[in-house]
Amino acid sequence: MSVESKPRLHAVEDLPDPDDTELVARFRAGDSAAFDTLVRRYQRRIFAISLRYVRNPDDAADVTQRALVQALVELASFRGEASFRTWVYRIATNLAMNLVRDRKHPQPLDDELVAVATPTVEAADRRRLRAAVATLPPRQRLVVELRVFEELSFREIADVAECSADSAKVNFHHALKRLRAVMNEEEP
Amino acid sequence: MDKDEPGSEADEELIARLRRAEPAADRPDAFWAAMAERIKADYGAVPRKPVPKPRGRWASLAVPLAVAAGLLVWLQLQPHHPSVVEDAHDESAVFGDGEDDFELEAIDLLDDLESGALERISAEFKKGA
Repeated sequence: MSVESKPRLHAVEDLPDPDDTELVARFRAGDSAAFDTLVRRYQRRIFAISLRYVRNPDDAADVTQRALVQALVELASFRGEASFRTWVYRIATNLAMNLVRDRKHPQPLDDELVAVATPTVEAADRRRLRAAVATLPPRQRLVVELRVFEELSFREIADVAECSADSAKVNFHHALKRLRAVMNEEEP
Repeated sequence: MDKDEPGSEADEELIARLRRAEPAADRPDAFWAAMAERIKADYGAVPRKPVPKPRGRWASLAVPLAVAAGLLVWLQLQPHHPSVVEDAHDESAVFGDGEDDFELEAIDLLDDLESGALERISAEFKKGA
């Protein structure tokens, strides 16, 4: 069973027409409704990506806000031809990774704190998996985040990660191998 | 996602576990509405450069063509002063222009000789004959 045939396990906004290309064209022409639609369409996704990195809702909201403002400003000024989705993802992941890099101590997630207070097998598994993902090299982690949670194609991941599609694919398979090894080592 | 990328069963199982481990990013509608307002306000506060308009093919040629035309006009308006270099390339300045050239006849040379020399040459000529 392929990855894409699996049902999504997290809520993602529906993507009604018009598509991004049309919205971007309308936004550049000064249509404020197109601006609102782009923001509504991407704020939840960017927040979810950011939260997985920064592990704090306030910081994730800050990253989301800054990433969208930066993407929209550059879109209006520089006539970028890249896909809006991969562009805003690239900005957001860079901002989030910079924030994590500048931190001195890793931050636990709210629900991880709850899981520690009321431990279950599933909660422990979730916590170990997240910890394992966080130990991946940055490129491998980015590919996993975008492939598994955002369901981007390897070509789109390559645009975000600024590498080739083949490199993204290889990084993804190395990352899964590594995660399996970590989880098998820690399996009780 | 790529349609030609079926993962192994182990991969699929791991991906499913990863998705189950994703932190909950659900927030109330008011949270998203407030964030959208902040994004709009921040966007409005950023000073932006005007979008540069693309120049057409002919427009992009106009500037160099105008410069070239101006240069030509300027050169045409300059008074002409023959230069030394120009003269140096004129062979007539060194070798003459041909009007004064002449060929010496044998008799012209004999006229320049003194009578003694002329007799000696005559004697030698007869000897040789």
